[in-house]
Amino acid sequence: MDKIGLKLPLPDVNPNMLSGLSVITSFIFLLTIKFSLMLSLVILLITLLLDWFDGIVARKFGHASEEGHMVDVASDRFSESLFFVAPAFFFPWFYLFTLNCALSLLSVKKKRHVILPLRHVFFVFCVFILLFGGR
Amino acid sequence: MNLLFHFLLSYLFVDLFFGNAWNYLIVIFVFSVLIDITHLPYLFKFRKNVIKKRFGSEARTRFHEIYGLTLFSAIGCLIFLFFNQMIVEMAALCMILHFAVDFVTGKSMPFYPYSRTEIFLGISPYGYKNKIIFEIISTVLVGVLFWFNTTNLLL
Repeated sequence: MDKIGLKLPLPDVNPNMLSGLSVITSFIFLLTIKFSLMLSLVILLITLLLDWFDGIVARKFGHASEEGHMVDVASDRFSESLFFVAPAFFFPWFYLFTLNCALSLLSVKKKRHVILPLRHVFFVFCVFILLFGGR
Repeated sequence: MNLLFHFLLSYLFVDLFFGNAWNYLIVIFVFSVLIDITHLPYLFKFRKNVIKKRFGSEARTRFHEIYGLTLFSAIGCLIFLFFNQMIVEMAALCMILHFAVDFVTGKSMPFYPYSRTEIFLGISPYGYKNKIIFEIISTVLVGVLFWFNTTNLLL
């Protein structure tokens, strides 16, 4: 996936800004989830793409750093918090998010990256709901 | 961000998800500003020089970072099993909004105390004067939305 990403014509922007934008799109997700699952799904997809692009941009233009890694992991947690605090998804997603936060702290402490790809699983879950009924 | 902004934003989101937010004013107020209690030691320490010293990441304790987010989320998850679930969801919403807004708009050390790396996303304005202007505009905008909401002009 990264090989494909590196070939994309992406602009030389501050990758931290892309991570920040992914938190802002998560705010938008929280605003739209009550009205349209389809629209929320599109916003979720944009968030995941932004999260992917920040790493790609950092590697492509030589911005990769310890600070960038921290920003990436922290933005992911704040983004997840906004997705899973929506009352419709509180149980069990918020519990998994809490576990992910603890894993993030442990990852930083032990310098080992062990994180659950919650938003990706959540995306598949939402597509499943959209296709086979539910809300 | 300031307390008023956090309270108004939380009110709007609680009203969006649960309705009748006016009935839960105390819950919204308490949980939207609770995390800022962690600024108090800093305020007491620099009470005379707080404007000169400004309000950066050094004003936060570990409870204002991911450590606090994890701790409060874990407590919320536990209480959710035994207490009024709607109130827990509401409180979590208010607190998460506070954490996320402060993360996006200011400097932070997200993994303090395990890492002292300070980060800034570069989305909100940088510099004291620009930050104050940004904060005033944001608070006024949320205030207008709050006024529209309470007068039933919104949603």
